[in-house]
Amino acid sequence: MKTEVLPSKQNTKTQIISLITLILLLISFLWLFYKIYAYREISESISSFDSIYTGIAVGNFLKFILLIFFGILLYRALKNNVRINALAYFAFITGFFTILCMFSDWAALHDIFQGEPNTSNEWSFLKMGLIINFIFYIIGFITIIKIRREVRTSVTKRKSVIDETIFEVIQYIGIVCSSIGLGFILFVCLVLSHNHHVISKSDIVIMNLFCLVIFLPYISIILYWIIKLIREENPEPYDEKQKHDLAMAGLITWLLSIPIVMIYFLIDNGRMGEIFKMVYLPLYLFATLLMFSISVLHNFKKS
Amino acid sequence: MSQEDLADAIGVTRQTIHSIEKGKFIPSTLLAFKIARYFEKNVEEIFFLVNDETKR
Repeated sequence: MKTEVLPSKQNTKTQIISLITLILLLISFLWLFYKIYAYREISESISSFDSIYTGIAVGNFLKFILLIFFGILLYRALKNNVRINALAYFAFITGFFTILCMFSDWAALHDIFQGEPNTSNEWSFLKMGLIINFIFYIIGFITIIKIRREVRTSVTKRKSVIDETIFEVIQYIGIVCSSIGLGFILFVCLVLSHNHHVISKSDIVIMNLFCLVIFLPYISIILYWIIKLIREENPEPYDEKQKHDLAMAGLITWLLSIPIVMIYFLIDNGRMGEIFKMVYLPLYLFATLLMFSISVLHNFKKS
Repeated sequence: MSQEDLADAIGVTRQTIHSIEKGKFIPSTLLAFKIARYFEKNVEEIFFLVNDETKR
């Protein structure tokens, strides 16, 4: 298959989008300091909330536009087979959680403004949101600079089956999503086992919805890749080495899942009861995804 | 010619070509023939058994 040099018009468009994204990111980063100042003012006096909230809302709007442009930039980079490093995958994940933090921040500020008696949890959410935003800005900045550098050199447009980037991206995102999912499940188990909370059906539904949200980045990248394959009318999703790596990873995952589930049963021994029922399915899915993604990536990298 | 050029020409990933060159992956018969045809050589001129493999 002949390789084509990407027309310079495509390069120019990607460069323009990357420049706009960079400018938005720098402004949003500076706005982060305003947010820190605003939270300090609100913690000292709720009456200052109204005047300060407008500034926070403008910053959130700016961040929303930044995230849209960042998503478009990553999409164009993947589509044009620009080589991006592991940090870009992490930027994608933190960008996704930055979106979630916008909603949690709004809910937390709303509770604080309502004059709730104990707002320590809300302040914890706000601080966590600041940290996630900070991480996203730093990683996003590095990613944008890297993409701009790569786009300056000529880029070849290749079919998905020869494209290793997406194959690698999917595994990294699988590892990150499953690690976050396992951490979340452990957190839930620890909290519920200490509180002796009686678990209802709605708790199980909410728990699984949270886990689905954590899965969303992984599902998104898979769907993107499938759509790309369909558009290219490509009957082969993998080349033979990728099939070999996937088969080996599948075998390793199956073999490892048996002792892991056995250990879980032995440790649990009926103690967790309702909590076990609630977490078993997401625990199994996250654990197998983690093992599978690590195995595929290991086989892919070791050769 | 780079690994990427060869990979693009025969429809596999660069990683696959790299693995074949390093001896970490044994290509299928079809892939071996594609590589040989690309270089306009016989398969035996590009792929061969080493001594310890013939003893098995």
